[in-house]
Amino acid sequence: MDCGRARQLLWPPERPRIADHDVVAAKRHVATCDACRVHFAIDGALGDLRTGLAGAVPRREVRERVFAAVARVRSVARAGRTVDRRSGRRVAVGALVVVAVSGLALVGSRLIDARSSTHTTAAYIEDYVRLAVREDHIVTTDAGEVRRFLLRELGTEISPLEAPGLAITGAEVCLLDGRRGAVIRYRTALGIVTYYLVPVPGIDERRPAAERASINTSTALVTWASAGIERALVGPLPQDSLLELARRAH
Amino acid sequence: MFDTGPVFEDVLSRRLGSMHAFALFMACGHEEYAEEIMTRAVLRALEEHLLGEQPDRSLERAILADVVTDTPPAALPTGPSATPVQPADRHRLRLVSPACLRRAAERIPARARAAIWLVMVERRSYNETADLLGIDLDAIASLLEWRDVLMRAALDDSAGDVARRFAR
Repeated sequence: MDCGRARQLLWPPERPRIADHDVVAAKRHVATCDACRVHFAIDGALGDLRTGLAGAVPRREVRERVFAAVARVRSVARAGRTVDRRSGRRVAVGALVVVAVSGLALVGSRLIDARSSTHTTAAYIEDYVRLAVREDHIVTTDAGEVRRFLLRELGTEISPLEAPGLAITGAEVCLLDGRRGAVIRYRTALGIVTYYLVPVPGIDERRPAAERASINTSTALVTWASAGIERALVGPLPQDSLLELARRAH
Repeated sequence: MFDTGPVFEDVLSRRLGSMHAFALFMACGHEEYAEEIMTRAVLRALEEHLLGEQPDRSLERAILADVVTDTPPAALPTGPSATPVQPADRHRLRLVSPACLRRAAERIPARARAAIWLVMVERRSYNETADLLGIDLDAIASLLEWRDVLMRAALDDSAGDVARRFAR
């Protein structure tokens, strides 16, 4: 056996492998070959250096610029997709999804008027589904802690909605159309209400409006925009209650 | 209809750190160039994703396609710059910083840099690396021989660093 083959068979050395005939021969070769022993010894000595190299973290501004570039491509792609073939009007094709009690189930789709919201309903629902693989989040009932978490993660002062009957359960960072935003979750008597806040520089103010998004369960959706932030409330509350909460937050 | 496949941005969010570390190594420590490499690769991967490619796979391939464009390198240099690092150098290796190693990466071809990263840092098998780079196993073994040139350059550079610190 030559050095190249032995190194290939035994790489990476820390990974367990079945000691078949080839592996045994490779190990025998390394035991008697100075060059191979040095090769593996030097590799072992590089452990900390490897960790340092692989642990280089991009600065937040770099992350933001990359995600902003993705968002630009997404919006162009979406604009191309949303031209209604019959009328030529720009409409957003939204997908209507039901979040079933025991899991997530896809139930149907329909057209949503895009003029009322920067994001399509599908985008909110997409992120609602995405929460299953979330990363950056905190579990807390403290509004101050949520504010500090979002300031740290997004660089924007975002105040959680506070109202009687709403209890904060946590917050996390979301991605909608490639833009980083915040999700704050509340427990209510009727279930979990999710509050989306996505900073969109220069966005026009828009009053809260119930989307016709819904859904054949009791889940409702209200969207609006204020203070440079696109907002949405999604939850199993009556639409009027959700609208009232949105007006309070507007 | 709603796409239930992996959300590109979510995969990107998880992978951005490792992509950045790789891009920074390939860019020999130049941060702006690393960002440029990474952004270009991400947009290329997004384009492929919109055509149906899985984001994990497309991100991985896009960055390699962006940075490994050189032809296979000629023979290794000879002389002191390629003298294999010895166990006796082990204590000096502790002085080598990640920044120093990235600077030293400038002394080796991009293709060898990529192979060394995938095998030595990401701990991928030779087969997997060969598949990602689209070359055969013999070529991988040849590219990995550049490790000594890289480490020798890093050792020299770190010795210079130490000397400069003492000279201040």
